[in-house]
Amino acid sequence: MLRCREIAKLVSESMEQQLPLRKRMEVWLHLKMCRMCAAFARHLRLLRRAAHEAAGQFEADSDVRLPEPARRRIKSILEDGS
Amino acid sequence: MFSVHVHWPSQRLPAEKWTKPRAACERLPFSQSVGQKTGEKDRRLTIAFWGSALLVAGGGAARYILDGVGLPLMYQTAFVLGAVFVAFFAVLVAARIGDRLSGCGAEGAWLLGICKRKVIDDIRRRNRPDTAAGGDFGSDPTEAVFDEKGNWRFDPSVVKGRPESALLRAEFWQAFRACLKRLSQRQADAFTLRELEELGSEEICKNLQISTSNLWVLLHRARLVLTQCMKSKLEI
Repeated sequence: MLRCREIAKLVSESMEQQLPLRKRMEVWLHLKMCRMCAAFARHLRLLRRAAHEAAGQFEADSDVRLPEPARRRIKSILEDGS
Repeated sequence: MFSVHVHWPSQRLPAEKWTKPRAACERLPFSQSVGQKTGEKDRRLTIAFWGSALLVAGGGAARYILDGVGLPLMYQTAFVLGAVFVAFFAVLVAARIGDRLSGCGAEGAWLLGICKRKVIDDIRRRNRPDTAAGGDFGSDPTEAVFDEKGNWRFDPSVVKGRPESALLRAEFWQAFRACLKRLSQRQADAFTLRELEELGSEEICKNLQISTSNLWVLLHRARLVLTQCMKSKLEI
């Protein structure tokens, strides 16, 4: 019987790769019984989601675009060259 | 003449032909033939024999060790190929320089030594980034999060209700950013690459020069730290 400490590690690992069937069953059973570990698993999913949204936010913030005239200029040069 | 070469190298020499070896040689079975003043051809044959034996054994041993470490198959193959490459050059160098050496068992022992050291050097060099940091996974939050029985010290439910509503709250983001700063450098690297950049584990391992299992340890610790920190920030 695994303790919450080990289950938390397995839950964390399950975010990276699918666990072997035996471990997956053990984790599943534990999560059904243990409110704390279930909360931890939920929090990990929330963290992943938050990180995903934060990354999208950073990207939108730092979206430096080439000014339109410069873009047209480069495009025309490329077309002339080819 | 031909059958002579098929035999075990030590059987090739008639007993009366070799003088009493030095003490160090008696322990080495191959030194009998290697160390004696045999012809040029015999010496090269012996070196080739032991060289190829070392190659095969070294490759197998490397595979076995790496299996235990749990590296991905691609890295294993690359590693074994690298080790074989290194050993092959060691044998080449040994065959060239070995001609100049004389004395009982010198070539055999020397060849063995150089191969061993080359392979060990190679392993060390490859593992340095990991071990140089002292297996640096940052602070271990396990003690702070779990009691000695392995139970939670606190309730890890950081946000109540639906996760969507949490993501809309400014306090959540404040806590998230503040707690990201609490991570140690390597934990933060691993977490950022994995969750923000959303790279695959293999790529992260390559970037951070760590093994997959070490990456998981880093990520797990980062997550524990984040959970603990956000819990303290959001629910005082």
